[in-house]
Amino acid sequence: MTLSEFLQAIHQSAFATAIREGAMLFPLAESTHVAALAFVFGTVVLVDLRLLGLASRKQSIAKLTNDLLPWTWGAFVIAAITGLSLFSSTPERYFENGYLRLKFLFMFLAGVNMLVFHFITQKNVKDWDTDPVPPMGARVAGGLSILFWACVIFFGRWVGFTL
Amino acid sequence: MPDAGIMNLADWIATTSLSHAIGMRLWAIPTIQSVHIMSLAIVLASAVVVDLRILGLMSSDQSLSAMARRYFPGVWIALIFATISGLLLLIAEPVRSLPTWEFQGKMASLLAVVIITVTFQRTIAARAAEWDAAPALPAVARLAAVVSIALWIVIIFGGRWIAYHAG
Repeated sequence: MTLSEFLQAIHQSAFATAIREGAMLFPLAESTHVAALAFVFGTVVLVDLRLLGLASRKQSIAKLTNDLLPWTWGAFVIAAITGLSLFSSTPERYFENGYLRLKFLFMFLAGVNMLVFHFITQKNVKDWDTDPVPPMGARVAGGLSILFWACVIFFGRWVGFTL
Repeated sequence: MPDAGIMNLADWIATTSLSHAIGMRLWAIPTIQSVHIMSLAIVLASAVVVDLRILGLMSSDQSLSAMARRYFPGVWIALIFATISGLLLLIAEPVRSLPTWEFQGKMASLLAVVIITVTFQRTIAARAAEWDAAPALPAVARLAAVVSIALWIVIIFGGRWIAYHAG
């Protein structure tokens, strides 16, 4: 099966047809996508501002991330499911869309940044967990995270104007 | 049927030079919308984490007054950016948004949730000693937290639904 056959098969599925042709399903999925993504972005920024030493400076970094990030991941799952549902409605057009590709590129970069922070920078978090302003590595991770996620939202919004 | 006064206002805004200036630049509306979504995201997240704490679903081991002091300022700062970007979008496309029930419902919900949030901020500060030590908050506070979360979702749906307004 080639890629274009695969996209066409998605297009023709009952699920995709329902989203494409139902009056309410697409707006419902899109609004849910925006609400979930807004919660993801908002909570990620709350963590990033802490890493930058700009907010929540009295709070332990480990505590803050342990409290917020499970909810972030929950919202991310909802955003992913609704996002894939939107994609399935006209998969060939979404796949061809350059802005959607850029959105995924920046989501990938945000993911790499997160992994580097989690597995390398955060290793000695005990030494700076309660510092009002964390070390350079953590601040860079926080700044890059805000930048990458802002690009995800920016290019995501452009998809709606270019399909 | 939208009110004639609102339609006239929308038509007038559409004739202003600022409305033309935004409308003529293809990049402007998606860019302002992105800023609007990001600002609203920070408002939403900051308010909802306190709501979740009030409901006992997040950070139950931390004092509510500390949570409120940490997150409520972000609600108001980000709300300023959301309001400015929202006003610019309204000026750019007044006829598309102002007369719709989706926009008007969004603004009514925003007013309601701002009142709830201000009340929470004041009450949590005033009753810090009592509420910080309480194992569970009064039912009315928990109900208001649920209403707050619901209103934020309604606000986002209302905003997105303006794009689908028929008529």
